[in-house]
Amino acid sequence: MLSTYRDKSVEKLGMQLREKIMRTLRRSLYVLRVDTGSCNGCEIEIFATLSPVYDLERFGVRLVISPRHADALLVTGPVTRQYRPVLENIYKMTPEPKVVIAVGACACDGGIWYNSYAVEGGVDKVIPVDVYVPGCPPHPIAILQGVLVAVGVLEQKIKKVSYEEESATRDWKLVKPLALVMYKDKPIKIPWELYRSIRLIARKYLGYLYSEKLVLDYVEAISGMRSIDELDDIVEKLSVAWKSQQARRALEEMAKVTRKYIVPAI
Amino acid sequence: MAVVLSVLKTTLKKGKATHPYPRRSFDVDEYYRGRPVIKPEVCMGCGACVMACPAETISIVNDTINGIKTWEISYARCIFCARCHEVCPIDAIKLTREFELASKRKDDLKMVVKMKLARCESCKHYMMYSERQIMFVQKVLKKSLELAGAAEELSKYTMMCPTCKRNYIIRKIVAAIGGGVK
Repeated sequence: MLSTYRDKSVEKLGMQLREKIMRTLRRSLYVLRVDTGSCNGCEIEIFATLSPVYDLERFGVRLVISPRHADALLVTGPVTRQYRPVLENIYKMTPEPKVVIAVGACACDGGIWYNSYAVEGGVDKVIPVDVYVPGCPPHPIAILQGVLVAVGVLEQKIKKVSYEEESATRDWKLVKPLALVMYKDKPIKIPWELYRSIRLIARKYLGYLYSEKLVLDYVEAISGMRSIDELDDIVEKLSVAWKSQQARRALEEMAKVTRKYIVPAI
Repeated sequence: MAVVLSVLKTTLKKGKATHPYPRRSFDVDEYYRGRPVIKPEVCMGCGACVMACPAETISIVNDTINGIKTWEISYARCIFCARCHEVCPIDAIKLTREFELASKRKDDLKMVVKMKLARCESCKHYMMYSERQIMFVQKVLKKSLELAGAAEELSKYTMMCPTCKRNYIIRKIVAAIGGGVK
């Protein structure tokens, strides 16, 4: 019951990592949170990192309240005008050796406030930064990885990727053909106008996440349709499968549009 | 004392709640919004994602002297809102589920795609549109215009830069009216 996570295949890797952690973090790492005017989203995720599920403290990392005790600074927020001198002071007060970790999109480069009159835009315009942790807000595991990369236990995973002109030649074929919809790698033929109207209706009722799924289900259902009377049964079956009032309203409107489209063709 | 023992009994029964992160990777939800990744062989450089991004972290730079269009994204300012995924007309950019993006240099958080610009057929200068964009427009015209010959007529406009297009249309109008304007 205490050793629910023992897995023989990664046991050796885990022991190596543990030795590396013991060697590098010989004494505890003292961390200070600095909030330079954030929305508190990243702060909440830092609290979550310190909770028992993602536990940052098992690596010997401890939160302190004064810059004089700190080894690492976890900075969040785009640096607002009022906070700029305070941040410079905190950086000067922290004794060497020190590490600065910029957590969140605002701290990395200003986030969506990058060109506002009230912010400097990114922590690296004021103090030098060692590790950037992007995200809005970053996942607690991402913050955990950021702290471990800063200390030197883990290696960073991401690298700059650059594609040159050879990939842009004249033999370019559209991967997603214009008037075809792909369902499970199988193309379904419906006209582009109809597909566009259906997609707009689904997006209006269901939002970004589920509208794509509803469109694919509907299109697959009507491509197997033999006569226009089956449309009501299809709407009924799909509404019951989706168990949602919004989906039913969306499907009824989609059926209306489909009827208007198919009847003139016959 | 009895309280301590009963709490201890519950704790031992439940076991450890901590996820052993570096030893085991963390699985996120099916719809988790992670880092957006572009397919360089599909992108045509239309700029829909550039207009849709709220943090303006995607940028397109047209070098009309050398004929190169550079598309660049920086994950430092990205807020993972998925608007670029929603708006792309050919499904070139999609959000994946990767979220472990810690990096020591801001330069490592970039992705760059380069493609060729098209040349105007009359004045031979580079236009601001890429070759793939023009091919896309010609395909859409062919598929959507029912009248025979209309697609071919309009396709002639696609290979001209805006200045040459203006001159061509003005000449056509003048010829249709009956001359007399220089």
